[in-house]
Amino acid sequence: MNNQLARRFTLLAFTSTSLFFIFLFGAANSIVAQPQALEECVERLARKAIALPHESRMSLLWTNHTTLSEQRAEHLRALFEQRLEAAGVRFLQGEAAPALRVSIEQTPSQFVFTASVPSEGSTNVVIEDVARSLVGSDERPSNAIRIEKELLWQQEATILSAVLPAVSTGAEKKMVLLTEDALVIYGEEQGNWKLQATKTLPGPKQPPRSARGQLLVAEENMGRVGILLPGRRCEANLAGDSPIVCSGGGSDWPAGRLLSLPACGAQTWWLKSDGTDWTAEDRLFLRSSGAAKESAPVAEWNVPGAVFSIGAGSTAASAAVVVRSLLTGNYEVYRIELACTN
Amino acid sequence: MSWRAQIKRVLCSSVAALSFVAVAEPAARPQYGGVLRVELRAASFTLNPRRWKAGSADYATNERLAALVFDRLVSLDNYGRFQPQLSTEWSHNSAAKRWQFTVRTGVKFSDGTPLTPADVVAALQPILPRGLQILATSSGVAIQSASPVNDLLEILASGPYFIYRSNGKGVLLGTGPFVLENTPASSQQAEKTSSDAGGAPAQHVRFRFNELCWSGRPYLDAVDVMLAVPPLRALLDLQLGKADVGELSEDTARRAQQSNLRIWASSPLTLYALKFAAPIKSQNDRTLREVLSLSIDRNAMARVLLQKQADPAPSFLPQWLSGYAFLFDMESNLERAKELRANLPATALGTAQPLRVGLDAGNDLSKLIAERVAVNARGAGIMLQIVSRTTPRGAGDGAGNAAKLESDAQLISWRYTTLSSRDALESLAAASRWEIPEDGVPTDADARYAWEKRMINEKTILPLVAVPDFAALDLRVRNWSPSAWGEWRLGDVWLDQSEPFVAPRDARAKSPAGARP
Repeated sequence: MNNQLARRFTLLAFTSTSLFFIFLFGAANSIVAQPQALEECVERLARKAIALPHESRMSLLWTNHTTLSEQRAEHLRALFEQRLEAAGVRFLQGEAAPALRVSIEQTPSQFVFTASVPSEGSTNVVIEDVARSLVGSDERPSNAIRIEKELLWQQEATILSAVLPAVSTGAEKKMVLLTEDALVIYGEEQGNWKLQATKTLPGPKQPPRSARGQLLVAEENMGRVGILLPGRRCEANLAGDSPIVCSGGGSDWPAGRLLSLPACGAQTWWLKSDGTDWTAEDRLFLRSSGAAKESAPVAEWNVPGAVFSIGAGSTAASAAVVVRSLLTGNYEVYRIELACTN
Repeated sequence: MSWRAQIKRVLCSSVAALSFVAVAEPAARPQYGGVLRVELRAASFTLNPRRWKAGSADYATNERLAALVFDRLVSLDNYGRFQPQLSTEWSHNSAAKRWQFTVRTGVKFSDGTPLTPADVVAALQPILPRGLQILATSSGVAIQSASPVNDLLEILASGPYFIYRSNGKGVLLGTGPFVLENTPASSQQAEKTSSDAGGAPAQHVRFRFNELCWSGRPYLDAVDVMLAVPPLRALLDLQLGKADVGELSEDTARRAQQSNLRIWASSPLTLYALKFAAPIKSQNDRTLREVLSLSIDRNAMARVLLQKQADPAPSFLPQWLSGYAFLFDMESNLERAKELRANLPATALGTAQPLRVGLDAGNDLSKLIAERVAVNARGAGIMLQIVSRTTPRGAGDGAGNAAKLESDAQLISWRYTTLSSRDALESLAAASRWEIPEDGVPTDADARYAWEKRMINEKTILPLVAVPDFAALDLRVRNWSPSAWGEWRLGDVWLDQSEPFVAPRDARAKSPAGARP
């Protein structure tokens, strides 16, 4: 089986089932993935530990030295404990019982599980490992902010830009992604994003290192998108099989997005990012449209990665932001919504 | 109104008419241009992976400079994921004995010739680990082995497994972001350095951008590399604005922390160990080594002697590479050492006559560590005599085999050069002339741990400490995203040229031509 495709498929499956985690005013949520690779690894470790000579009563010391969240490690601990208990091991609290020590360690490419199993004064060791690439990483909790953000999508492959076209009430929501070589259109079905169409960008493919692009939508025609590429402008219909049409021309790259929320007043705000390099965390901030550059933002979010683009959301109060997470290396699409705090 | 006109209007009209699509000043983006000035400790290098000596001190320099010019089939990112490079897809059979790699199409070497599967075969066949065979297929290459190779991606994503092609004149061509440029002043030397000749060391080499690079032109115009720069000099050059990246030692890294520079440290990449000249020959010999092992205080060595710039090494492989190094015991036990020492006869080595420990006089850290080993040994009643000899840099293989010293043991340094813990163990075992199982060092983590434990108990090599690589960077260096295992990834680096640089008068006079953007 093709490894790369399998991994991407796993990620896609994970993504489609674990979306819609809302981060609101400091609510610290994490993306919880349940890839079977980790569970299978722990199952194997448990089988090996049971096969060794062991005490019938032990305490369990479980240590996690990896980027896996404590929540996830605790889930694995429970699974391990369950398997050993099913084999007749009784786990006790406290130091009176000999300790079965399990440690989760991390190498550049693997998670390594070691279990030191006590038996009549000696200890035997069993080890299991699993490729990190088969396991979704955990996300760091976000900082408190005054804007709402919702993770819609994440993938390993590069996303240059994203937009969320407006739809009429009751109509299917859409998400349009611009990758290095294609326009990818998703529709929302029962809470999951389903791939609807992929339209290949015509002309020469951009080199990965400097690939750049920006999606634009016009209020007058939400069924079409504009695409800014280095030295080119393109346009595409979201529906139908018509190809993307491009022509030459310079590109004025939008550096932010103007948002408004009438319920909060007539004011408008710029949503921008600091624009760091790829190795540093970025900041997404909201500043009154008339305010000086030096003025303090009215809201901000310390993004756990670099902001690649800010595109149109489905309403005047929303935006679609592409972030490359420093924690996972994934490209993530967030819906940013203005929240009225009064 | 046409759609094209609408797009134009969206881009160019006022904010009110833009329907919330804004045009404003561009965000900070990578900047093209500039020359990155790098200062390295090594006096020479060779880009030919076939000439690299496993475990040697110069391996890192060779690999870092080769990474400017060549690509591998795959790479490993900082998140534990293998990324396509010259191979776009890969797969293996259920037994992991046969792997297929699709070679990326449209890739050109720096002279414009296309990359073919045959080039991949030619580059990899001579250096693949024993038992692995590579052959060209219609769309790529297949690698096969009689036994499972579960760690093939780790192997190919590190070490010498670059793809290159000889131009027939001894110069190796690559597909990477830079090309070795032969400047008029040093063209002859650079030519030699880049080729198989590997002769006279070049003090200054320049790598210019490769406009044919499949992954895109690098941001930098060029990378200027000064060789044979001592760490203290590199630190001063960084402080004076004469260099952008400088390779430091553990002591200069401490000093650099007090200046306006960014400091980078890798995971511990170089193992320092005491290697005995011969296997255990007698019970007394075994006891002597046991005493020595118990007397060594690795924690104090790492924390106090090296001021927390190193990790104690209880095993051959570091924790970051094996994930199980913490299972090895490294506590010193002086009382137990003294008890065992009491059992040694008065005529034994280390008692009647000192145990001679050889080291390379050119390696200050080796000397420092050896002296501490001698102090620890003396505490247990064992005499050590340090024999310092000069070994040409790069002449050794890292395991002390080239240094023909008349000594009972050798203080060696061994650099880890692979992401596969099995391959790392096998390299060390081969260099140390250990008996390796027929099927190689075990692939399975349990068995590998047991094998390493057995070799530790053989006490042919006593691991001591593992030391990271250090570097300091000017604040203008951006997108610096090295791997923990020592890759610098300069193809993605760019220089922030927004702030005017004012070089000292003498620096401008002495810097290489075109070194300043």
